[in-house]
Amino acid sequence: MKRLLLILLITTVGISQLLAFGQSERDDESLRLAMSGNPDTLDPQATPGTLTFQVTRSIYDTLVEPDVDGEIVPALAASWEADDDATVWTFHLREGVRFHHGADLSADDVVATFERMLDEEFASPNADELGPIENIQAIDDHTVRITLGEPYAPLLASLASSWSAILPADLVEEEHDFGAVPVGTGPFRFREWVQDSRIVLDRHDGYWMDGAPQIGGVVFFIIEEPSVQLQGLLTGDFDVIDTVQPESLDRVREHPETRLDETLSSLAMVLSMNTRREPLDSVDVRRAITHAVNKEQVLDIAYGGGEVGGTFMDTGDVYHRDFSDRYPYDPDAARELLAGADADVGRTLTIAVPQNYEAHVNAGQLYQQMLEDVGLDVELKLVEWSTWLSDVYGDGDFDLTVIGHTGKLDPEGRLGDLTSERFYTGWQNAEFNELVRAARRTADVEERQELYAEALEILAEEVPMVFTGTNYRYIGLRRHVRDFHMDGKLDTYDFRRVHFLNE
Amino acid sequence: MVLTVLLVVTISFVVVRVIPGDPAAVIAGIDAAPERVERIRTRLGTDRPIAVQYMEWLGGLSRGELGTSLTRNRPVSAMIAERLPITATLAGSAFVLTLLIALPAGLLAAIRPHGLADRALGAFSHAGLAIPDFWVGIILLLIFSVTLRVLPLFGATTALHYILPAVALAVSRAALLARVVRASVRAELKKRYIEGIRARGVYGARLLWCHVLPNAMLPVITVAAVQLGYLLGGSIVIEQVFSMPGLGRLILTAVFQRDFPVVQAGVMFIAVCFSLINFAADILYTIADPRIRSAR
Amino acid sequence: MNGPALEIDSLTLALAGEDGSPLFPVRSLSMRIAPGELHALVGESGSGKSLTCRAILRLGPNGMRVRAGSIRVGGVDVSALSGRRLHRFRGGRVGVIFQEPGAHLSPSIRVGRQIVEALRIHTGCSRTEARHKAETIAERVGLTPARSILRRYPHELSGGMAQRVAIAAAIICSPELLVADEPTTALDATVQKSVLELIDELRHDLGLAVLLVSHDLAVVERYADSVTVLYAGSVAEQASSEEIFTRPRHPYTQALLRARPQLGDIAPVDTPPLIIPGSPPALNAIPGGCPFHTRCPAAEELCRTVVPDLVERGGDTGDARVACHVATRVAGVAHDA
Ligand SMILES: Nc1ncnc2c1ncn2[C@@H]1O[C@H](COP(=O)(O)OP(=O)(O)OP(=O)(O)O)[C@@H](O)[C@H]1O
Ligand SMILES: [Mg+2]
Repeated sequence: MKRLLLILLITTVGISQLLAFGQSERDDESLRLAMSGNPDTLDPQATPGTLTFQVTRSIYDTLVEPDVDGEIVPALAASWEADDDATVWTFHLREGVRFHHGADLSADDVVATFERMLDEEFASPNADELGPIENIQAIDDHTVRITLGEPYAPLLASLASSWSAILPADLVEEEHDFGAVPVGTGPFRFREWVQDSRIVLDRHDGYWMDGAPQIGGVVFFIIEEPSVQLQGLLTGDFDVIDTVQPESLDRVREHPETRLDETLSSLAMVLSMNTRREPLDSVDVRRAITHAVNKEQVLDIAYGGGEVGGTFMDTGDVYHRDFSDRYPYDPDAARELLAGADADVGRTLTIAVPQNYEAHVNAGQLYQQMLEDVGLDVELKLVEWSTWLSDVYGDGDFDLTVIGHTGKLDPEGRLGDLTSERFYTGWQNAEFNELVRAARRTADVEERQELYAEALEILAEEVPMVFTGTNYRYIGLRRHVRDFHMDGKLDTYDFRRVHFLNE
Repeated sequence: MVLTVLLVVTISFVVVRVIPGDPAAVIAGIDAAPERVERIRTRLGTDRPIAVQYMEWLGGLSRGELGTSLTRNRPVSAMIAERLPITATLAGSAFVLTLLIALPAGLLAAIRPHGLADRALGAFSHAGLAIPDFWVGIILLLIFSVTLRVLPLFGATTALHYILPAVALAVSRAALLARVVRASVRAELKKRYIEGIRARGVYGARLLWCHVLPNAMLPVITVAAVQLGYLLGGSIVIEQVFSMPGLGRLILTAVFQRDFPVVQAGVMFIAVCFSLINFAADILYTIADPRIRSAR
Repeated sequence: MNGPALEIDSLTLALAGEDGSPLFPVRSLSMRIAPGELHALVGESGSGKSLTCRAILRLGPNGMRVRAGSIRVGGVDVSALSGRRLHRFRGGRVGVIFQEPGAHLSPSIRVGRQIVEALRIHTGCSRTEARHKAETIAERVGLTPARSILRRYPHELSGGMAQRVAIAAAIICSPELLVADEPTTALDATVQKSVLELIDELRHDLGLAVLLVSHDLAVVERYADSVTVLYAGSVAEQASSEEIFTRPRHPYTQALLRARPQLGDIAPVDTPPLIIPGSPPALNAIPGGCPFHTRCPAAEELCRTVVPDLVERGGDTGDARVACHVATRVAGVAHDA
């Protein structure tokens, strides 16, 4: 009996201390964000992974960056100019910028950064994004010149992207492990990373942007369970959560202390077809399949809502053109086309779905149902992500597959892939390839828009994929978090203006 | 012994390579050009002949090196060392909890078949075996971390963080083990020596703890050892639910990413754990039953 | 000690039959055993010997109850005991040994601990004291070298040694009564003899009353002071050992004696031992009248209808009682019908 009382006593004391501990943490000025996965590395050049960029974006700066409207504006480069045929670019660096380890930013850092990224042995998966760079040189302490082999319009967009983070030359020289201990010029400095648990960043006091950052730091908690993220947001354990499942949207919207940030993502959700295979090599069959799909329904049910698309571009992009009325949802038209197609439509078609993406699996089931509705014989096959990458995406071994293609700041990032013969859909079109190649070399924005519009129309007519549309990216926030900005295009956060409204 | 180790090592090497998937493709991601993937493959060394990779790995092992993670570029041994305490604490406390629940519950149920305790155990073990650990974990989280707010919602930094995951892991295992305890104690109680002991005036708790339970331990040890092994597997899911940075999550991620050295080390580690557990169970057998001891 | 160590008075035990109707495996059993006396309980298989032993210890099979009568050990009414006092009684005032000693020792505990367990829990003596006592008693019962034997496990002992261990455990608390239910049946002849010699010594040295259940009439004749012959749960004849073996009155006793193998050259080698024809009745089919009448060569009409009382039959040494119409009449003993 006495022992029981003792246990009770200890438990009560323990609990009250825990509550007190929780209280004191609420006064901390760090932003607490629940992130759905552990980044592989914090080296922005070593991976194309979004999770990595979502963290490194706050540790590093880029030469230029997109503003809220997607316009490219100065960052570490205060200004820049290009020659007439857009092959020689000169960047003038901002003065007085300081790295977290104390060194001043100079032109050498920029040169060292890009040389590291282009190093064949380092084999950065992002190297191709930089385009046909021939030479990077420091003209003086604060001037850098990039020379291209041929005109490459997407260069600025690429330099604004997360992989173009500027690293300090001295640490590059000594082969510092940026993956574990990142050092940059960004608004927050790296403090610690407990694998699969949390990444802690502190405010960088000498940050070059006036009045930024305002919060004391950012803690990324790695929380894989969406329900735990949600509960943590509702209870106030987290200020921001990066995953809100479709069924929880209303709870976050309606809860008095939370709100939902709704940004159009950069994804183009598609049902891709292998045009090397019968009967998908027939454009009539592909159009029939497009007619058969109720895109709005797929977006609503599987992806939590979005905008219907009609070509291979996320619908929020400035280069997007609306072709969604070309082959709209019309099962009768689909049946008619199938009946008239000179291809064997009796074969069983398999939809390969990456099984760890619940949304894609759900979409796959909807697609299957819709295609069977118009008389096709379809089965679903769940494949593991790495198998999907190597077999479906790498080797083109599939009939149909469900995926979302991430966008880049520049349309080249998306459309350039399709010009490759090794692209997984196997679809090739000489006219399309010519248009995209021309756009790549054109600096004039209006001219480019026209070229891309034509290319996008070819895709809308040829439909190597069912262009379902673009979903919304939902972020859950506590209401006291102000001026939070999510870049839908890069899928990264900007915490520089974030501050807390006093409760 | 050497042969067993070599076999485990070889199997773990082969298994991770026969499943489809390419670490370079994972690292490159969906937008990389095929040429780029090849370059990454070269950097990782996964483009070399399997035999060469195998020999190299064996060489590393003989020097006590587990290699370097392909995706995270860190020594595998350091990664495992960092995770091990968490999973060991979790599995260990879950196991202790399993025993603390199963032994008294099984005993109580066995003393009076069809009594209140027995029926309560019946209900508990039905539920415990039917509900996956995952759900038990979520339900516990909702009750104690969300509604009552008495225990933390995520992480593994204090002892309090281990309470719910350990309970979630223990429930289904205790449900099964309690049944084994019950059956074994029931069988033991029917044996004739019990009568002799009772005739000497031994009764109640002393009879059960000092005589019945030790003799009923053999099947309990067998099942408990298997369960301890499976605790490692169960902790993969539970670590995810409770956001604990344990070994299970490391290995799971590595499997998805085809991070060969990490998976290989993980498989080896699990094999070693299993054989250690079996070894411990063997020792326990001889402690529990002197007849086995003298049979050796 | 003045009073009897064991005193059973008109004991009737009840069990629930398979159909729920009550069965009476032991009926109107009375017996008394004085300190230092060795009393034998004999009878065919199923006659209720073991149930009687269990009733003394209150260790009956589930569902067995005392329907009538009483059992007193050292003057204490056994059926009045409960809880802690009952357990203390079991290990303390009555010791018991069974047929297969090995089967009555916990297999995973060293025998030394088992011997002193009763002492430790009933008297709360210290560990060292207990160990010392165990060694003394082990030597007393012939377990030498005591120290090494006490460290063994039951399976490491021979049958005879195991039975000595059981005896040591049974008498460690200096009980007044030792109940020995066929203690030597499972042992071979020479071992059997040494164990019985041990029991015999102990009862003389310690003034221990012994209730010995045995099938072996030679053993009974040699060691017992007095004998109860049980048939189908009721006493057929009860007398001093000498009376029983020299002047058996009950036809069942006589048949038992005739049925036993003769020793040495007394019996002609080619004479097969006489077997009592028929078999004892099932518990739910005990015939009316004298239970033995269905197999009795001397049965008369009266035997079939009236249960014979257990009456004084007259004897040269002490009390002698028999339950047989014929024997009573032949002996000319009066009885009130
Ligand atoms: N648990 C029980 N339930 C029902 N009947 C029982 C039980 N135990 C014994 N009996 C019956 O009671 C009667 C007496 O049994 P008991 O064991 O006392 O015989 P016994 O004289 O010891 O025989 P044996 O010489 O074979 O040991 C038998 O008919 C037996 O079948
Ligand atoms: Mg018997």
